[in-house]
Amino acid sequence: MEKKKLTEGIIFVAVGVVLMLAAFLTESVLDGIFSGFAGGALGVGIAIIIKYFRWLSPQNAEKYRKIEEQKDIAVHDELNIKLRDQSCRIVYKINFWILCLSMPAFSILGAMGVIKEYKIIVMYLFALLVAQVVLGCVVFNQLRKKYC
Amino acid sequence: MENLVEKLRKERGLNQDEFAEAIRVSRQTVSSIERGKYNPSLELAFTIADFFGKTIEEIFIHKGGTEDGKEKTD
Repeated sequence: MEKKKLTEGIIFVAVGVVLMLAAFLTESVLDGIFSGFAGGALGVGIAIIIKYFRWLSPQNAEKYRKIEEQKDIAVHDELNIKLRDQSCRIVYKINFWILCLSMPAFSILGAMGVIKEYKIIVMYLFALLVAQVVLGCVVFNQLRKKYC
Repeated sequence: MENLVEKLRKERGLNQDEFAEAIRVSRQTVSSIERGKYNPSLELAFTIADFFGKTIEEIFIHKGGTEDGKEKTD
C-alpha cells in the first residue's frame, strides 16, 4: 500500500483532533458542528491507518495488489464510464425538474403560512437551478473546445 | 453487433474473468460484448483483435456482412 495513504490517514486524524479541541476548548454556537466533523475525520483517519498497516503485512500484499488492480480496471472500464456518464445525465434531468417544481411548492407553502422563511429557500433553489444550467453550458463548451 | 468473441475465448480455454483481466476490462463488459448488448470502442476492439491474432472484421460482424467476411447480396 502506498505511503501517501498513511499520510492521508494521519492528516484526517490531525484535522479531527484540531476540530475536537476547537469544540471542547471554545464556547461557540458551532461546537456541535465541530464535534460532528471531528468524529467523522477521526473515524476516517483511524480506519485508513488501520487499513494501511493491515495491508502492509507480507501475506496480504499480493491480495491487496489484486484488489487494487481490480479497482483500477473497474474505474477505467469503458462500459462503466459510459454508464456513469449516462446516469449523471439522467440524474441531471431529474434534478432539474425537482428544482423547477420545488420553487412553486415552497412558494405555495409560504403563502399558506406553513413555512415562514420560504423566500430564502425559493431564492436558494432558484440560484441552484441557474448555477446548474450555466455550469452545464460552460462545461459542455469547454469539452467541445477540447475535442473539436 | 454480432461477434465471435465468446467462441474465440472458449477456443482459448479462458473464462470471462480471465479474458477480462487479459484485456483490462470488467467481466461485465466482456459479458455485454459477447451477448451483443454493448459494442466496444475502437480501441477496445483493436485490443480484442490483437489478443486473438485476428482482424476486427473477422471478429465483429457488421450489418450486411457475413461470418466468413463475404458481403450479403439481396
